[in-house]
Amino acid sequence: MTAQDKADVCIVVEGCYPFITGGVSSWLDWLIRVQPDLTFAIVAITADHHPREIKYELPPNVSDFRVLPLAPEARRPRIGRPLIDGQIYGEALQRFWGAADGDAFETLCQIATTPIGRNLPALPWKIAQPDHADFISSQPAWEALNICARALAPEASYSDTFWAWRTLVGGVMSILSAPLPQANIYHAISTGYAGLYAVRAAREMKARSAITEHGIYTNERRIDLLMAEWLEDRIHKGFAVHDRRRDVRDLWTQMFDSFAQVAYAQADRITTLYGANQTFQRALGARDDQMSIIPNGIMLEKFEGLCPVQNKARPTVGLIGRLVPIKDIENCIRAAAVIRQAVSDVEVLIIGPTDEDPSYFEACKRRVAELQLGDTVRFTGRMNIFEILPFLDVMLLTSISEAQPLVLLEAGAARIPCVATDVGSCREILEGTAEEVPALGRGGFVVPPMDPEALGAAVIRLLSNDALRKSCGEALRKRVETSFTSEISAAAYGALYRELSP
Amino acid sequence: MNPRWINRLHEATAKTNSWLDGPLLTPIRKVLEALIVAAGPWVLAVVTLALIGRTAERWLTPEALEDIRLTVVYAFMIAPMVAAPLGVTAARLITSAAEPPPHDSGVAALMLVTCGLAGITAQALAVVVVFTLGLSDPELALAFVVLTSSSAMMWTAFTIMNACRLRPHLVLSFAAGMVLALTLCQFSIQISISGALLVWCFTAGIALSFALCLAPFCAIGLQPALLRKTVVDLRKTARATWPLAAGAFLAITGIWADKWIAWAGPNGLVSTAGFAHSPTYDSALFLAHLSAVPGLAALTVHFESPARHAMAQFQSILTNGASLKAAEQAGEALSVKLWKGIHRTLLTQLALSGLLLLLAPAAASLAGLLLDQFLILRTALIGSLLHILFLSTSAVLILCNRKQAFLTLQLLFLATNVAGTAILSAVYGTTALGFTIASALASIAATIYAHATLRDVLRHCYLTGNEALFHK
Repeated sequence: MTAQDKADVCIVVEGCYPFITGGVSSWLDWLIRVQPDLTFAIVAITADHHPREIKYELPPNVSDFRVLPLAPEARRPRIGRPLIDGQIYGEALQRFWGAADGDAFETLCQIATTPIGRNLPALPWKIAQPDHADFISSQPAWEALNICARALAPEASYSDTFWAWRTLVGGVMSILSAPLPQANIYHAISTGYAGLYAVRAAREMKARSAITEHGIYTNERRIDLLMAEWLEDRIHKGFAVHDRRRDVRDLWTQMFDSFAQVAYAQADRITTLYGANQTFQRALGARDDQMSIIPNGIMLEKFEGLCPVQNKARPTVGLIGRLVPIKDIENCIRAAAVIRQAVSDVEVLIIGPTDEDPSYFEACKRRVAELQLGDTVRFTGRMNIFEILPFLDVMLLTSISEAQPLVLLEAGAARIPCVATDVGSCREILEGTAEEVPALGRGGFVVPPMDPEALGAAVIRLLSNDALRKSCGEALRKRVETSFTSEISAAAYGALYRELSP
Repeated sequence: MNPRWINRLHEATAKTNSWLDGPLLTPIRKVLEALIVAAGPWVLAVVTLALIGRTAERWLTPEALEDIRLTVVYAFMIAPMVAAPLGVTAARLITSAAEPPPHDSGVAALMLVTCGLAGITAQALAVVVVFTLGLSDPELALAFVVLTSSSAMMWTAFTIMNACRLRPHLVLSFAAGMVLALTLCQFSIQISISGALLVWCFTAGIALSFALCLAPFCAIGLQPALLRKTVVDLRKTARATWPLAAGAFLAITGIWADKWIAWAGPNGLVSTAGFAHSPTYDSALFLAHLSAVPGLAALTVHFESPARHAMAQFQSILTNGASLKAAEQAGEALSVKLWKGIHRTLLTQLALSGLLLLLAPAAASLAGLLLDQFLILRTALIGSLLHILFLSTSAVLILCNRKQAFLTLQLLFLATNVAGTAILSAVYGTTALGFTIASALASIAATIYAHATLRDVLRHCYLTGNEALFHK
């Protein structure tokens, strides 16, 4: 699809829609469809240039769709040294990276988009916009790399710094040099590269920008980086808290923090799903006058008529989610072992796609075998939620990081009580906020993450008390009706777009 | 070949290796190996031709002897032009593997494909030369074509074996071939004599060398699929390393360019069989080039062993987590080691060239050179010395994977050699000034490039010379 007229809203999304299903992608598909009067452009940021399968049919009100790879196909710089001042480029990167300096961001935007000449043997009078190879593989790029390495992490492994620099700076410069679709509002669905693109686009196109965060991007990246085995810690600080030496892992984290700080500083509006997220946003420089909460919503009418299956052979607990480490499925399996001690015929269904991280899936299967839970735990794969919900007595959520999990709302809509880890807005959903008037009561239990004993105990409590299970289910349904419907959410986003429109 | 014979060959190689081991003999062996790799066939040619000349002068006319000499010279001119680019590409394919396998089916297939390609190409070129020059003796022309293709295959095999670190085997193959060539030549002189027969005898020696190079791989069964894969791999490597291959071709062409101009000039002659040549220029220049063979051997030893180790050490420091400062220090240390080796090589060659300059009158009278040739010899000796400097600094560029720079410099040498020789021979007649000036200019440019490369070695290591970044 190519650019048509000016879109009302340009959605900037990183690493999901329309190539990955579920989660934010589903929400985004919903968001575009519930605003039929607005036209949308979509910029989908991907890691590389390889073609990907589009998993969603683009809604009819999408007028422009483009893919922006952070790492285009690698090639050598064109002939002749590009006339980019390596010193200025390096210092701007260093200030942007190390201090989230807005002026440095401006400088980088200029470097990215200003046409330049080249030294001989290229034709010196011929000027053109620098390309990706100029930004990461040319002589000025090398000077910039060394300025950053010297200033930001002089003790870190130079090889690791080199690769980190190429990846991160390459991504930033792809974002800053990419062509922009015309739109009135640039709406990024995270900070990171998407946030940078949105604020740059809004500034250059004299438009407005908004950032919506489901989970906090910097926190998610921090978790990814802490778990990353491809990063090797080479500086051993021991217990020295004042040791200020930086390893490459710190460089990665710092860059993502800087992305967020610069994006927050320049965005017109910042929304998130629940209050706890705002603490993190404030810590990275978001101002109260920019921030608001727009919870996710679900279409309640779809859940009408769902009746729990009576006279089941076994009590059933379900976890709906992708089989990936961040969902901590292993914790669910350990909890199943705890539950089985009290409810011997319990069945724990793990419902969701297993192909995203095959090695993790294998590890989960091994854990089931080790704990001899073959008769208790079942991996069902992807299933239709409306077919499975009537079978569930309790819904389980074991994630170590979440934003506002839709599964809890869907369970609530089906009057199923939940047990969830204390992450994201799980507590707000299950227990309500202090401002909830009248207080609706508990919709389930919230337990600490990575605590299978507590998780198991909470599930046992629900399974062994029919009245409690019923009251929790009803309370959760009521809460969803009053705060988390798709109509409420769609209206809030409609209001946001009206507010930002020229 | 019978597997028993192959085993015996392996045993003989191992024995030769152990005999020549030890603190004194190892360096000598290394120099000898380097000499053979760098200029072995040339040395063989010179020795054989000298012996044939001495022995056969009673039976053969000077014209016939000249034709024999020119047949070998032409064959050894064409063969490296084909073998160098192909050999370099094949060697890159081998060295890009983590640990080059000495005797596996992959190397066997590569040897077969590359040497086959070299043989066919060289043969085609030789045929073109035969028809272009209109060689009058068909028997000699046929011997020339076969000698050219055998030499191209042998030289290519040498490069591959060197990349596989099979040097002792290489030396043994070469020595056996040399002995056979000399014996057959001497033997044929006793029985019946003709120019073509002597060239065939020489060709037999070269063919034996090549056959012995292939011998260890004979027992390996090669599947057509493997050969196809090798062709694909070779083509892929050629796409990535074409500047290096083209540079190697230009380097060889550059050495011959001044001779071609001399052959086409007023002092150029045509032999009885039809070979163009310029005896005044050729003899002096060949002597001068021979004077550089020890320097070439020293250079090969330096870049094959200490320089390669220094580079490996440098890369190991980088991959083991060196900080920027430590990486810069490692780069400086590498630079010091490389320059030290180059200085040592040059000093050795300088001493030798100086000695030869002083002894030039004696050498000229021994080789029967005229006064003109004596002057050309002295100029060419200086040119050869500078050419060694040029080759040394070019080798630094190859080591740091600066392929484009290497190609540019070889092109510069070729262009200046052609232009210099053409202009100066038009103005002053036949001198070696063109070659010497071209060597001087190219060596200055290459030294500047090499200095700049080593000063910025981190960038070349991580960025410009890092194939992994650009060839996915």
